[in-house]
Parts: sequence; C-alpha cells; structure tokens
Amino acid sequence: MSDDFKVSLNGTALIIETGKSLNTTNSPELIEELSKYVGQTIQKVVFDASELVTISSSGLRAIYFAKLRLGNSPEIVFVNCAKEIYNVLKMIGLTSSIKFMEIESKKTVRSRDNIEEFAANNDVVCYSMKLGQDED
Amino acid sequence: MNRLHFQPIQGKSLDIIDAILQTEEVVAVCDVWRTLSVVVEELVLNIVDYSHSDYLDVEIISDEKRITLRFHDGGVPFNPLEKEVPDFTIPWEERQIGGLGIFMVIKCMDDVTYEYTDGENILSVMKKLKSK
Repeated sequence: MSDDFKVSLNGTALIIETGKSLNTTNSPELIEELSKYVGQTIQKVVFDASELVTISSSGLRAIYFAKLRLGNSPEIVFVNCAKEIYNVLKMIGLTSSIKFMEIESKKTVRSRDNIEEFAANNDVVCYSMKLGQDED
Repeated sequence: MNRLHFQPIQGKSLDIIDAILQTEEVVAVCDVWRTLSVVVEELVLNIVDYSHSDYLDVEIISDEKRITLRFHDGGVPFNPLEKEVPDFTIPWEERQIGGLGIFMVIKCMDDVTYEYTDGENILSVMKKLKSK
C-alpha cells in the first residue's frame, strides 16, 4: 500500500488502513475522505497501523479529526502500532485515550520484529481480535 | 556541507521537502532518516506557510557523529522555540492543534537553536548518530 490509505465502513466502525506514512503528502486527502462520514453514526474509528512507520503533525490532525468530527466522540483504536508511532502518541498525551490492539494476521514484518520489545516497554495490553469485532 | 537554495517557496513545500530528504547527506543517515523526514516536513511547512519569506536556504552538515540542518529564511522574525508548549493534559475537545509540529521537532532532535541574524531567521536542528 506504500503511502496510500484505505477507508472502509464496517457497521458503525470506520476502518482506516494506513500506508507507511501519515504526513502532509496524504493526511489532507485522508481528512477529506473522512469528511464524507461526518454526520453518520460512527462509534469506533480503527486505524490499522500495521504498515505505519512515520507520523507528522499533519497525520495527528487526521486522528484529531476522527475523534472530534466523526460520530459522537468515537472510540479510537490503533491496530499493530509500531513503537515509534506509539511514542509519538504518548509524547502528546494521546495514549491514555486510544485503545491499542495487536492482530497477528495483519502484522507485517515491521510489526512482528518489534512486538516483543513493544509490549515489554509500553503500558499496553496486547491481544488478538478481528477488525470490526467487538470485545467482551 | 551541502547548501540548497529554494526561491520562490510558496506552493513548493512538497518539492522542497523531497529535495532535502534526497540529499546525499540525509540519505546516508538511514537510522535517523524517518525522524528527519518528520522534522523537515514540520519546519518547511512552518516556513512556507507562516514566514512570509520568498526564499529558503538549507545547509546540511554531517559527520560520523551528527547531522545538522540549518534553515535560513528572510521572513518576519519568529522564534518558534518561544512558542507555548501545547497542553496535552486537557481533553481532546479543548486542545489547540497548533504548535504540535515544533513540539515534535524539539522532542525528536538532540539540539534545536534559533537566532535572528542579518535579517534572517536561522533555525538549526541537530541529531546525534549512532556510532558504527
């Protein structure tokens, strides 16, 4: 998927599959795409970050947009978040209000390489779940 | 040392970012390239969007221990290091999005300095390199 993204709706969960970067080359387009879902019932926004390795403030704006403009303050979920991305989210105080999940089947070489170190060094619970499936 | 000159800069942000990231010095530091890609994006966008300068010069200096990028613009005097740090303790709804970029730059780099000299804003950012 390189630097592109894919957005799909699964019930009330909006799923965003990111490429390697969320930055000024693609975040404005992502926000424009997300704008199409403003006013719809969105309870959860899932960022599938299995390929994501860089995020700039422009990418962070897309996350803010999802949280503040879609649905009624939907739950934000990050799937297979790399340690570098997690650290950026932590740096700006977002990790406490984002749910982090690991999904084995979606992992790329990037995330598999880092998962043990990631889990050991970060205050997150890792478990497997299918995209769009609700936890108990 | 490499020195790049861009003029005009309005509407050229992506080209400028690409040109800096494709320089021999930046390409060579692959272990910090991702960090530099974010830092270069943040600084170039800030200068192009807010400085009112019609040019941007970028010096790139590297050795085996560090890489330094020095951004010169002829815009209005502005020290981004004096910008108030965003408050990340308050709820999403009350947060100001502005200021995130320079905050990320300061956090990502090992040294960030600003000076206003001879009518230019000069912002220098330095990243230490892992010894090989």
